[in-house]
Amino acid sequence: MGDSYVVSQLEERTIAASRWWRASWVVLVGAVAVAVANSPGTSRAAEPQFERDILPILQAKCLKCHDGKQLKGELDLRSLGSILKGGESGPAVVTVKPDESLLLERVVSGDMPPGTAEKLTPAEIELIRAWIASGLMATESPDATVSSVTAEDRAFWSFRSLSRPAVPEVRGQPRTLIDSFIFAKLEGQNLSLASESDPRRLVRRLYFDLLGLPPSPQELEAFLADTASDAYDRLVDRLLASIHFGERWARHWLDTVGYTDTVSYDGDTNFVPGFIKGRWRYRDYVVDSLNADKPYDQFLTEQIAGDELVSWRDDAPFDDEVVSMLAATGFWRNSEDRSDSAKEVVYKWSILHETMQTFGTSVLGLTLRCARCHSHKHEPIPQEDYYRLLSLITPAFNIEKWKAPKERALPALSAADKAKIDARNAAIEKENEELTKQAKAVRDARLKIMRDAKIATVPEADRQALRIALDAKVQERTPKQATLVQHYAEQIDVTKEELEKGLSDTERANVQGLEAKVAEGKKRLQDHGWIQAVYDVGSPPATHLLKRGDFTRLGREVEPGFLTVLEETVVKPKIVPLPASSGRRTALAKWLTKPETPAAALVARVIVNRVWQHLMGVGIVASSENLGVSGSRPTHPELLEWLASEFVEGGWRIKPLVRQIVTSAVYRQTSRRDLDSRADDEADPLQVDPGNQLLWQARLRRLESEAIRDSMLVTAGVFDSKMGGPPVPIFYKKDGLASYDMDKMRTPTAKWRRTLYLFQRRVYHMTLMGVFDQPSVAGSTCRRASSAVALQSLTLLNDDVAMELAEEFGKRVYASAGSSVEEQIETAFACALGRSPDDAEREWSADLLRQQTQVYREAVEDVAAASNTGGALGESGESKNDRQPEGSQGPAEKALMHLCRVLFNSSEFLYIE
Amino acid sequence: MNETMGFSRRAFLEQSGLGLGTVALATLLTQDGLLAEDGPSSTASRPLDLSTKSGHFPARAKNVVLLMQSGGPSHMDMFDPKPDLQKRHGATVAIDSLQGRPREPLMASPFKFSHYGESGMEFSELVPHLGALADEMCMIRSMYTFDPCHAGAPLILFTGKLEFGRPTVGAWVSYALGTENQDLPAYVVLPDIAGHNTAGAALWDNGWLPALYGGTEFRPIGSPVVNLRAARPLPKGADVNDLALIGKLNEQYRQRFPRVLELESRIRNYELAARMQVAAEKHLDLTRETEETRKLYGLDDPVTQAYGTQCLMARRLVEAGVRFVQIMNKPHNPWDHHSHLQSRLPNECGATDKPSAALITDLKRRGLLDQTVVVWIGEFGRLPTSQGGTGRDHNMHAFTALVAGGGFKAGHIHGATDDVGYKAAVDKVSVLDLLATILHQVGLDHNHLAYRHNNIEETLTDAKVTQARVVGEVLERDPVVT
Repeated sequence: MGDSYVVSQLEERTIAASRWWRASWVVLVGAVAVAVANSPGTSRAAEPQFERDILPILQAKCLKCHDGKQLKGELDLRSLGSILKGGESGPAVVTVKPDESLLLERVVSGDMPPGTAEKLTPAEIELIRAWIASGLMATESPDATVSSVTAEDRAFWSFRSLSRPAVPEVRGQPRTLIDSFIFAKLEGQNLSLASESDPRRLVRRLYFDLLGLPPSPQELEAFLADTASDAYDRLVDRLLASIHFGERWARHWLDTVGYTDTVSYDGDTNFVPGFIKGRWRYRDYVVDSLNADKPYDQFLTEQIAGDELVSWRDDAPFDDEVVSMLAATGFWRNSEDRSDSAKEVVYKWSILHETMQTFGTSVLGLTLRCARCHSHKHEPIPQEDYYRLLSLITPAFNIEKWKAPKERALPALSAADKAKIDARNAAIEKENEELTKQAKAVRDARLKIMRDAKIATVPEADRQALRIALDAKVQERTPKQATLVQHYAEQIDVTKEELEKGLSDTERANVQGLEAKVAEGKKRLQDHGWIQAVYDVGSPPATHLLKRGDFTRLGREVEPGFLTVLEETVVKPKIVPLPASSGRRTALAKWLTKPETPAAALVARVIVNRVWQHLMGVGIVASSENLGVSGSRPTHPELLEWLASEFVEGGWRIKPLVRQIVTSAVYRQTSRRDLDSRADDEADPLQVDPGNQLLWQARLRRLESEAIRDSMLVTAGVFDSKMGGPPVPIFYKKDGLASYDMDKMRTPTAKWRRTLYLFQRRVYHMTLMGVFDQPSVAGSTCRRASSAVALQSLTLLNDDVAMELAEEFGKRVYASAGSSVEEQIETAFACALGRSPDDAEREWSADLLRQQTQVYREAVEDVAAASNTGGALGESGESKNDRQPEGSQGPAEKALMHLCRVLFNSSEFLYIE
Repeated sequence: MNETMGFSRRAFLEQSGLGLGTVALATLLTQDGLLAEDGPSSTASRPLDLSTKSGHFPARAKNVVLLMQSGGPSHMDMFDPKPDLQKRHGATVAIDSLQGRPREPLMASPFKFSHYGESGMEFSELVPHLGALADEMCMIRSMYTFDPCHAGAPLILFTGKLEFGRPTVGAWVSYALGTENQDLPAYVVLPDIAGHNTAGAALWDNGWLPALYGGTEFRPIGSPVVNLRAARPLPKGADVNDLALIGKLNEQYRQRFPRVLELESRIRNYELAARMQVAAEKHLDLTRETEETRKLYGLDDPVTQAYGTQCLMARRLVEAGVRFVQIMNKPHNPWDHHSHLQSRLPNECGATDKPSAALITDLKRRGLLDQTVVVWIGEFGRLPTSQGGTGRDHNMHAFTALVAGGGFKAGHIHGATDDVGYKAAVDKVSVLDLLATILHQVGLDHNHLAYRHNNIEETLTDAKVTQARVVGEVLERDPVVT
């Protein structure tokens, strides 16, 4: 087919250009296409092209019989693919050979169309001849109706059904079955696993991996004192049962779906546009589901089609289940959606496509974006598949019946309860409207007087004409009137400030009284929660293939369906419509999770691989966002197959999978292998496997931004463990620093809640988070970057948030250790690093405390000497946050803050060994 | 290499901080190939640090200064005189009012234009200082863009697309070329002290490029870099003691993992942070400027003082070897004159005309203009029709950009709008074309400067799709064809 599928360069460029405008201005699409077509050097535009020139002829003259329904002579003339396939007499056309093409022969001879039907004109016949001669130009791939997906494509490792591999026999002593797979690879290279990690380091690793928080010194010591052989396993179970597990792992999932607390365009420091209420319910749904160890197939199903699982459109009161299922569909609401204000169709399409791309990456580990415009160049995903898949969500993202965020948000309570609140609010609002009207009338009267006074200053010649022009509607003014208004616009303008000043005392008192009443009324307005859900809007719209992804160029209509490469054959999905919903997303969820299918196998591989990545640093497939043909290959393919099989057979549960991994020897090994002491007959891992792909030791990993801050909170002893609810407000100061918005904080300690609960935006992150690679949220993030830049050092040293926590940490140490320097040092190291200092560290720390105590003593003396000129103190930071009054601590106590600051800045604090 | 780190090459490569750029490290990385995962996608892979690198071909310019004029300056009232518009004042014309507002008649410019310099380039009375530099200037009168909103248009201008989360042109340039001064960031943003405009920090975001290529904000007052000094006051000498212990602990930890180079970077980052404290304050200490220079930028006048400070800082940064400098003007889109254009436009010009011109003059007399591309641009222009009698609405179809230095033709006018200034009509230049041309002048081919992200080979201009091209007609020399 390759040769016969000719798209002229022009076509490619025109199409390509229009594709790009998807996110631009609609009006322009036509203009650009025309501009390119008219530009010189594009004479090929004159050559006939299937969709534009040939199909209309066929439609008019041939499709009455050859339309795929009648199929006279088994010939379907609706698409280039079916024409090439031909009928019982063979292919209807032969590229570049008009004389050998049956289609042409039959219309030239007049056999076709048969009988009295209207024949083709000579011009039409010549057009068809030229089209065949020039190579059957078309914009669509001719194979679009006949899937191009081959058996070979389906045989690719990640597109096959799961087949559980046998556990390999190994020479070493594996602790778990996972280890057998790891040992097999290592032994194949004459390598071995490292020894088990020092228990302190191991427990710290386990806490961070499972909870994202460090162990307290007491928890650590309790574990070390537990000499039972199952102490570690019991610790694992305890951590898996902790509420913090769900919070830690929700962060991973929220990354892949690109969760933000915002909805619309998010480009202003402190102004967040759009309707964002209740976004957090989705975040909480994820946390709760992970804590409940909800099976992953159910977890996915609820997110994809929770609204189709419960009945909520009737008047029955919402129970927790209904709220939770609706909140789950927030999964689909993570694309930037500014349709509240931007009404053009192009923005809606762009939301749809971005949503598909995020869905593909997060759930399927595939890049779907490319197939939007053309059949995927790297993956066996025909363009048709993209639109078949898209048609499963178009009933919810219905372009024609689009609901902007504010219109579509669902109240988080029953219709009856909402009606009561609404009625009460409506009465208040009506009253307020009346009061506002009264206030406006007072102002308007004064405004008229003031304006008339200004008009009176206009030269008499123009005065009357100006009055008349001002009375006319803007659109209806004559050019002369427009000029007149423009000329005097500034002269007769009464500004708001002028008006306020111009009010008489009585008027002002009147207006203020009315406005006070309005304000009081506003306070009485009752609010209720909201859910940012997805649900079908109207009956399913027709979904068309979009030529080159351009919504202005509709191709043929497509039926709902799935990815062909993940099915044995092209089957029509079973979709069971519900009373008020198409059932399409439910069908999608079923397809993704039906055991023993290739689709479920891929879904399982993707999540199992990500769990492995979060625990081991790198996935078995390193490109955890892409398990397709263009992604990396698994380092341990059998292990991944085995884990995925276990996962599905065990009921798709995340916690047992985590347990399975963290109890293995490969997880428990040390990250600092002593290479000098390896056995004589063993290979040198640095030579054989310098990238440590085979896992001959654990990987040293830097904590993610959230874990760094959370760890600081716990270490400082101020961690507020409150779960869920609206996000913690963040404020962006004029100096570019982002910190807590204390004015809007619900409780004094809310600023010390987990980072997961901070207001999540797209680009504006808290300074401390941003420098430690919290990603810009635009679509899916499956792997966090981990940089080491100088701004990190500056932030940990000097940022107000970091310094405040160092101070709090200092207070905590003092409260616990008192004035004994030895105790202080011991406590500080135990809290921050989970270990005792060594002799050198003890000595250095004592030196620091001594030095800093001296520094503070001198500072106090200098201040006294300088009698309050503050000469000895450095530059004063402008912090809004509450600060301890100076002088409440002695120099020795203040010095402690410095040891704490140093520990926060130590590399060891930032890494999981 | 780096066998102990889980992140293997990628994370390791990103470690180098603000330009540690050791030769050994760079060499290691270059040899590494950098394939398979996200990362540079050209065959000639480049080290991911801020060491100076060469581009695709010899560069005509070394630095870029972008003077962003948010809000959409009115080209017909400053740079693009339209006699027809003056004549047809009050006439009704067929124009899409982009915001769906009622159709209003043409509105003549209330400002007088005159010819400047030998080139005879026209400027209105509002911008006499820029006018005086006519012979240094390439004026592109046929600019156009693809979105008529303050939210979208700046994103396209800086990142090539109307999408959040993409790297900006400055990030691409620092990624590709590194920088000369390893004590300062490669890409510095000078925001107004009052805050950001729409699109905000997305206009200097690294997107999916490694974090070290994102723009660093330098403040115009106080300590220039965020967190350069302790946010909470500390007594003198306290910092030094802390840093000494941090160094000892981190060195000890580094020895624990001798093969993890990232831990070495962390140690050096503290040294670099200390150097940056000195360098940033040294290079931005404007008190060392002569009285004449301070006056040139208008620092003696409250009207021009704020923007003048930003412009003077830009010159200092270029001098210090910073690769890409971006000046962002004050919040609330100051050029967005939907009403009272007649009084507000002169105010805005008054605040910026003199300092903008001063920057060009100052760079020129220091011999730096030739190697620096200075771009004065807004996100779009304004309509020739009136809005509410006293203002003009947004216009994505036409606006003017000024470019000085860096091998752009001096004293040259490129392109033209239609009779009234509604649409670019002759030799049109899209914002993407301009981006491609800026890249070209610093030695980069916009078709080949690529980065693989989520399995897609990304470029700034996506020229295969957008048809963006280098505008050779505005350059002194013919563009390099690769």
